[in-house]
Amino acid sequence: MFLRIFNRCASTATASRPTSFTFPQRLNRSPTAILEALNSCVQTDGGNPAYIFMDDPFLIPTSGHEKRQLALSKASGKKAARWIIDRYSYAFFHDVAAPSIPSYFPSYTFDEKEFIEPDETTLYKLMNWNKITKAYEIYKKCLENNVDISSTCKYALFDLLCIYNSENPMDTLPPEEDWYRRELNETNQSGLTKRTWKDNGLAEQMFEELKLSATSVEQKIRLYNSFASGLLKYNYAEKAMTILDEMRQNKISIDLTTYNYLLRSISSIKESYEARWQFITECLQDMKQNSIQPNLRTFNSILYTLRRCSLYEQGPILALSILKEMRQCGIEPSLGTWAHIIMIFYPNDQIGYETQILPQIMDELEKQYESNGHQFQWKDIDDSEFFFNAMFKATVNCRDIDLAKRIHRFLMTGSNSRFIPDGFKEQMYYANLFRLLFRVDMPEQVMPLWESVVPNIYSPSINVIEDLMEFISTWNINDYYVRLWSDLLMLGFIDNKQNNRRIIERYLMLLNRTNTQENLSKDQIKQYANIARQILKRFPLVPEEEQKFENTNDNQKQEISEEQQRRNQFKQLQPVFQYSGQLLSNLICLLAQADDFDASWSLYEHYLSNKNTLINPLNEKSLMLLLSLSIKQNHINRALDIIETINELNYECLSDALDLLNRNVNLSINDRQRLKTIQKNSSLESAHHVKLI
Amino acid sequence: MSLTYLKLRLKLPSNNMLVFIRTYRQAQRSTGPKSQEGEFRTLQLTPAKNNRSGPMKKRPKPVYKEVLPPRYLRMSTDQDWTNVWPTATTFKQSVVPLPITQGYVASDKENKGLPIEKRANAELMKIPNFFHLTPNHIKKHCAAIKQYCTPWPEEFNSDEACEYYLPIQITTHDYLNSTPSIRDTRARVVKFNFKLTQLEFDEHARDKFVRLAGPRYNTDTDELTLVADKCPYRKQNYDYAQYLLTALYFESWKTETWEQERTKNDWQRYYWDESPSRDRLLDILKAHEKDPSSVNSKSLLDRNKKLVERYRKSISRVQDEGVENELKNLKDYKNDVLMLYNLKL
Repeated sequence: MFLRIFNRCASTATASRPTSFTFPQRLNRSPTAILEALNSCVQTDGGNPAYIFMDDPFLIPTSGHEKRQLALSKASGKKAARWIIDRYSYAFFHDVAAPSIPSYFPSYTFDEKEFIEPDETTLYKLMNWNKITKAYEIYKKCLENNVDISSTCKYALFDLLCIYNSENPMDTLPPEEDWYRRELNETNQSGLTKRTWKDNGLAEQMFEELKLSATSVEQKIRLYNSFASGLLKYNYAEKAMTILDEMRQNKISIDLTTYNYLLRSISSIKESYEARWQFITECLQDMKQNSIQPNLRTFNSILYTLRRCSLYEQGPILALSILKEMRQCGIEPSLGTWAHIIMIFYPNDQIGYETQILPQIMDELEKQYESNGHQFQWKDIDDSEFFFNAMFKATVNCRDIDLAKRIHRFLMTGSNSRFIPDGFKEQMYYANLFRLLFRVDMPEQVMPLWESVVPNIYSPSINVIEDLMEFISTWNINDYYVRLWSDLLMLGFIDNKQNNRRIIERYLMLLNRTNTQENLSKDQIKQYANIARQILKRFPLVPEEEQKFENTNDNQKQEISEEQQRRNQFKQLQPVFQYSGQLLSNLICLLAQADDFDASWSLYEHYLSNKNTLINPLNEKSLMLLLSLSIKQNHINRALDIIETINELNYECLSDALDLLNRNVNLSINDRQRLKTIQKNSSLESAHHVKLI
Repeated sequence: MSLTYLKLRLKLPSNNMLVFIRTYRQAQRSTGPKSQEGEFRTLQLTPAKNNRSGPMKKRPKPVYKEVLPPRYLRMSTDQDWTNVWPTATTFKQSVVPLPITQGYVASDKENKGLPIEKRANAELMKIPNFFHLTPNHIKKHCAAIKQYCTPWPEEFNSDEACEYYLPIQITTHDYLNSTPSIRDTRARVVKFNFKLTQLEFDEHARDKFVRLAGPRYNTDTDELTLVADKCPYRKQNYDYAQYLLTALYFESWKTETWEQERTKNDWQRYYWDESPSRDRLLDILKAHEKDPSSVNSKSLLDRNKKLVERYRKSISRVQDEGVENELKNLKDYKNDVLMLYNLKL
């Protein structure tokens, strides 16, 4: 009507245009489709830290420990905020959000007055606020007071009791804490199925009550199915079986959820593999007779059960037939399905390489990813296992670098990385990947991958770091040594802990080994010496406190605040870094090569003064290097000292040392005398061959 | 306000008491252990060092871990910038691999006379940056939302064609902010925009339409703009604007009785047919005729149709058009008059 007033033919210039014209149809899209499409463009290259951390060099956590600390602090901050909101709920009434966001508001606190005359609304309210046990209490009270309660309300309460095992559901953890749930949550670490169902719990009491009052068929179906699912969910298979038998006798039909739980817990019902499979087929036949359409969860449950039949010869064949069945039902397998299939085909570390199932699965998945519009949805709870399982089997069973890299590339595309659900699984995934790569691959390929992942996505554990050092030393990648030092610092491996001392020792060995092998450029020598100085600065030979106390006078000593005392006590608790002769000699080598006589001499002196407590003596190489440096810098007395030490330690190189000093320097008569006495006293034969002037 | 509040709380009897209390407090503050002997006390803005009540507590120096080197040092030259800076954020000196400076240096002594570089430069964080909207970003975004686009209709090959097929332009705005609220009051405004040539008018209707529209009509571009923002929701405003346009259009076609009363002064342009000039011309032409009573005005005009038309045009041009072409118009008018009356100068 409105547009009719516009006269299309008025203009003479447009008279020739055809009047009939169809506009292109607007493509249907959701209100947020454009935003979602733009969101899919947002990817990171691994250079930036995770979103919860601030992207500033000063604040980026690098080591696993720091990350954990920061994330958990953040989570506890959130919890504290939540607590404040709940505690002072009267102060938080201002609603800034539109539409209003309920979780920004204080949670409802129930008043005792509300329970004086309870009715159905109170019950619903309690259920909405997750107070299941309290709801049951009030329900009992209602029954006593003869308050009428509708059966829908009763059954809702019963369902909740079965789902949450007669307990109040746990509060959902903040996502930061959720990432570390495996470390924090001590119960059920092993992942074994334990019976956690509460005997004679509220659910069972209510079941007995409702059983008597249930009249209609629907009510009975709901009652029995909820109860059976609850029992199976909390691994009480024996009782569940009796309930199921009861259901069969009374001709109460079993619903899909119960079947799914049943199929999942078959391994705890039947012992032998054949019997298990027999049971599965029986269940499926039952479902077919009752015309219940299976869903993804059904098939995943079957595969889960098959997976628990380890080393079952029929397993792979049956798994494939189930996959075929799935396709026929028009259900697309999810990542969880593939995760189970991988575990069925590779039941232990040796078997399964010949089947080549993993590459085929990857082909299939990439195709699926393309056809799904470049994204995967979370479809099943088992989806979280896929990447971990795939990488584990690709590295342990297949030992295929290309396959491992392919899986990793797939993980990095789009938002696939969310299918690794927690920190522990991620650690294992990367540990597996890098172990394989370090063992088999070339450095040119490994190092870019390493750099793209460490430290922002993955902070390696000490074992992986040791593997990396091994890898670097076998391939002898000279350019990476200095970089490795900064990586070690960054990842928090250079500190006082016992394990980390090993790392330092190994690193210094690495540096020294290359020193002997080839001629280093001056830059490198300098850098290495700097690293040595950094180590000395970090772990002073003499602990700091002692020096401080010597300097400060008595007045100031008294004024040391409590806090400082506490800090001192804390420091005393921490072990002092113990230098060994090995470590000292390595440091001396590095410093002496860079012509830093003072520093290396102070190390030597430290060795002399603590000779009795240090574990190993200095080695020949370091002493020789120090000797030649002192000769070069004309410290004759010190050179003689060193030779004496060499003599004491009975090193073969004494003859060389004597020769060196003899040839290079104009010695005074006293000094020559001293040299001769050393030669005389030495027990080594070779030393006596040197002719002293 | 605050005084009354105080009163209520402390239950002070009057303002006088309040003053008293204040003076008392001041006195107490000055008579401390710090007061000096003598007639005049010196004003100590900062407490003297030896006068401190206790020893100054030494604050332990916080121990920081090593700071990472900025990230840009490790970036390769062929990296994909869209992945480094995917979304809008404040400037981060550790990420941008460009030697950017910003700020003003007052004297040569300050910072060696150089503008301040990016590190620890708060100015760079204040200004908006467009690192998230480089050409590559735009390409990526376009590729992502292309799935929701329909092909451009072939008929729309020129601006005129678009105007022809889509006579009216309706403008609304959506606002997207990262706030808890998704509402924005500015989103309610609806703007209608169209050219008057798209509507069917006679002379009177058009004149009336333009007069009714008032300042909403732009004479230069021949466009009418209706903005509706009175109602709280967009739909309401849209409906209102539609109603407004419809009412305006049909109202302008009506002729009220009072419209007959308009005089020459109300003319928007010169109507020769209604002007006294026409009567005079008719008189003159009549006088030319041998038998003035036998002819009526219509036949007179028909007989001299060409000349009269020319005359009409030139005189209306002189009346309507402004000073710009006045000379030329007058000259034309003169020629036409001469021709009409067969005069020769």
